Amino acid sequence: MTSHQHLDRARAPAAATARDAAIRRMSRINRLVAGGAAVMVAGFATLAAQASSGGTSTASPATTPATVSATSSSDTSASQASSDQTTVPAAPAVTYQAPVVTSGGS
Amino acid sequence: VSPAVAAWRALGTTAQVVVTDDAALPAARHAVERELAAIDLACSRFREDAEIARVHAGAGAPVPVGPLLLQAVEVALDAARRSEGRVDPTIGAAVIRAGYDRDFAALPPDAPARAFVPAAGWRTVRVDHAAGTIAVPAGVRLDLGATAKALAADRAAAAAALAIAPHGVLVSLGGDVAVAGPVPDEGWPVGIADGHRDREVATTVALRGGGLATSSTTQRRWRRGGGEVHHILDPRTGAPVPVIWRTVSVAASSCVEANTASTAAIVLGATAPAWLWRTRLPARLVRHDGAVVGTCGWAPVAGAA
Repeated sequence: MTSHQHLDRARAPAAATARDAAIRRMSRINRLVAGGAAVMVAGFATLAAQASSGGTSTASPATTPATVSATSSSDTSASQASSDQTTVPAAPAVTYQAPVVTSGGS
Repeated sequence: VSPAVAAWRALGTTAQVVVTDDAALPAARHAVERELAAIDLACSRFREDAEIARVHAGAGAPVPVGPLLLQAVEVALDAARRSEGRVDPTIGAAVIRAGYDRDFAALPPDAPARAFVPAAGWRTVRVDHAAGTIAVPAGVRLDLGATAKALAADRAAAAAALAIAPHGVLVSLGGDVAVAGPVPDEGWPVGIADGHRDREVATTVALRGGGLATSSTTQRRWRRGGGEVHHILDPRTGAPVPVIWRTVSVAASSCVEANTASTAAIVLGATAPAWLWRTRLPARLVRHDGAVVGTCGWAPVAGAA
């Protein structure tokens, strides 16, 4: 198969292209590529700075400590560390509804 | 929520689609099946007819690809950049070397041990978006596994929501969850398993948008050289990462972002909570001894021990 034939095969019909564009808009992937990257990379930069200055790399920020427990019980929806609602969601609140699916790792 | 649910096998895992209107279920499932079939044909490393196999055969030459594989590789490279290489699509050869060389269900009970090999490095992949081409060096194998499945969840949820508007939908691919369209008043209830007892729900949360992913060192384990290995490899060494966390669950504005963060956190190990705080992502981490760490408002809850 020639490269031209590959290109022909890769060229999607207009209807499929429009559908793909609608899916991309709705799934927000394109926005993420632009918005989420900086936050994650900044997180690594901070870790690196902590390491080079002898900071405690496993510690959470003093104002928003991570907690370790096996017995806590209540709703988790109160706090939200981010002001950037376009890329960072609120923490999902605990619910007592029956789950419709389970996220357990794959 | 009084949901209607359909479940079937796809992409080597269980696909589930959930809607709140029974009548919308067939159309939602059809849209999801269509997206998953397209992703599988573009990205599967277990299919000789997959489009990605042509990229590998190119041995360094730019290979024209369709828009879906182009997006999947761009998303994978973006995940690598965001995670500073902790989630690296060039891990394919290392995964094969570690023994995960066929569909997981077909793996033998044990296999001889072989030395681990590091990933080639995501910067070796060349994407020309305008030309629609991808080039990977000879011998490099892309494994889009994590990000492509998450992308499939995001795309499938969006496609289904478009198909059944104005209703909303939840799509789960082996626990990689994406939602799209209107959300039920109470949110979508998603159980979180902590990996201690297979798939047993430790807590349930209400998801109101975006995606949620859980990465685990307790799932997809196999035997190699008489010992057990798991599927999350450190790209720098090609070896399974030390088990600091047995599961990490992350909520984000898409399943791709959630999966990238949950996988990166497993690879990071002890520094993962600090990184998740800095990245401002709500996460639930279950340590190897069962202790639970929450970040960004996701506090530990009962039953996680």
